[in-house]
Amino acid sequence: MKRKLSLISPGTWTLVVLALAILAWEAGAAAGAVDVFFFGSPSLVWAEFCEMVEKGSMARHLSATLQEAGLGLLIGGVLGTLAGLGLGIHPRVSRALMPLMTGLNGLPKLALGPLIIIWFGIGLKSKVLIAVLMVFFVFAFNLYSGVNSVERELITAVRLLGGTRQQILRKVIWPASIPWLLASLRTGLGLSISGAIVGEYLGAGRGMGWFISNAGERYDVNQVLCCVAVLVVLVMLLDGVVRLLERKLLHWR
Amino acid sequence: MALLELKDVNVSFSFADGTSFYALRDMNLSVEQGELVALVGPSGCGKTTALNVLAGQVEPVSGQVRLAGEPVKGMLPSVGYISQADTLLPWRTVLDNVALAMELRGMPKKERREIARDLMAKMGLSGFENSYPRELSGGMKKRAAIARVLAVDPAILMMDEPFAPLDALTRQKLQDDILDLWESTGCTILYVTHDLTEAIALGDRVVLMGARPGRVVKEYPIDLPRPRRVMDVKFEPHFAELEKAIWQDLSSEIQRGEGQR
Repeated sequence: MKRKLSLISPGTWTLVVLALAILAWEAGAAAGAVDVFFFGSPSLVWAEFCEMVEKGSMARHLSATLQEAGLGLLIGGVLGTLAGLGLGIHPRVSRALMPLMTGLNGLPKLALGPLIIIWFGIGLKSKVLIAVLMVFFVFAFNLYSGVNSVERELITAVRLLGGTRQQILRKVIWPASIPWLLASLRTGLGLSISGAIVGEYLGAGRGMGWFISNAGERYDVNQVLCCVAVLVVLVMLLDGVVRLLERKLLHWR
Repeated sequence: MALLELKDVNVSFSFADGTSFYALRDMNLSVEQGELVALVGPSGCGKTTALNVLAGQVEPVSGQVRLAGEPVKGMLPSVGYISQADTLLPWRTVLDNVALAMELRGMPKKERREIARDLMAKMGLSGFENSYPRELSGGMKKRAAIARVLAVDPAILMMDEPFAPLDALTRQKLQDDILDLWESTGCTILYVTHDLTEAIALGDRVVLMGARPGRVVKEYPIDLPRPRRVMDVKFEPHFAELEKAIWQDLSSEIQRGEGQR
């Protein structure tokens, strides 16, 4: 239990504030000051959670969403990293492509949703693609900035020590970009899950997004809140994992 | 025959508005095998540019760089370059930083680490093998940077105001280290500085450059006895005479430079 807490590292005060808010909510619901039909109550949300776990629907929908988000993060992350590094070390190419990339990034990905569903159907592919689109630009822009912020003196020094272009890329530019990669990973985690959920909203047969959207249509507030809470805790835990990774990989800082 | 020469070298830089100026104009300089030459001059006179031409980082408009009499183009095969900046790779341990040049040449890990360990011991860095650069003082970082270039036995060491950012005490210790190194290995050093005391204390010869265009104005043989210690040699009467003579020429160069602007 202790390790999990340090993974989220919420700090004592965060916990106190959270506990007070939940307590006030529950008390309000019990006293009738909060309309349970519209706002739910912590105990009902908890009961919903237990039921979902018992019936296996939590595992079913969560695993679908995580698979879509995971694939999206992996593909978008790798492609984005390659694009960012490539643009960073080829200034001429980046001058031509950067305005285009900025424009595409500015496009609301949600607007592409219907097209993606039409082209790729309501299966796994369309969700992964939306997640990829959300994640790709974060990695690409971050890594591009990373390459550009490598100190010129380090590159010159390694070249003067006899480093080839390849070696400079592998031994200077790449390690210097790792902090940017990890920062992208932290942002990308949340975005890939958002992408998967948006995809499921647009059309799916399972997944947290699809489940939430169904619950919403049934005015099942407790079920919606339960799923949202699960997603929040999940993202916090995954973020904690990346932060541990950061501490391990960037201990030289 | 000189080990390294600049022969009638011209370098020009152009500004964005199309105008250009000569950073170096008919620059001639020669460094003998085993010599310690100090290059001084007012700021902006092209000292660093001259060094960069020799290191193959700046291409001259005309003129030649010669290594042992042969004209060379591009990067010299065996140059140890030490600049003012801190250029250790921050994500590598000091040991792996010192081993970097050997790593770039494809030497196996065990072998290069062994050599790096020995070099670190020689430079007084034992015990810091597994530290990261941020954990080192400015002087120690400089020592590590020197060890890093020495690892591949460069034919010539080029130092561009290497100790300028350090405090006076550390600087003097490192200057003594350079004297030690040079006296014990007989390596060739070209040392750029704006500090006359440093130039005279270290050099066999002080070369004075003038600005706009950058070129050699005068050379002064430094006939102070060796081996030297910076603290001792500074208080010799002859040191003061040399410093005064060079200072007069240098200050008139500075005035001439300012008159032009």
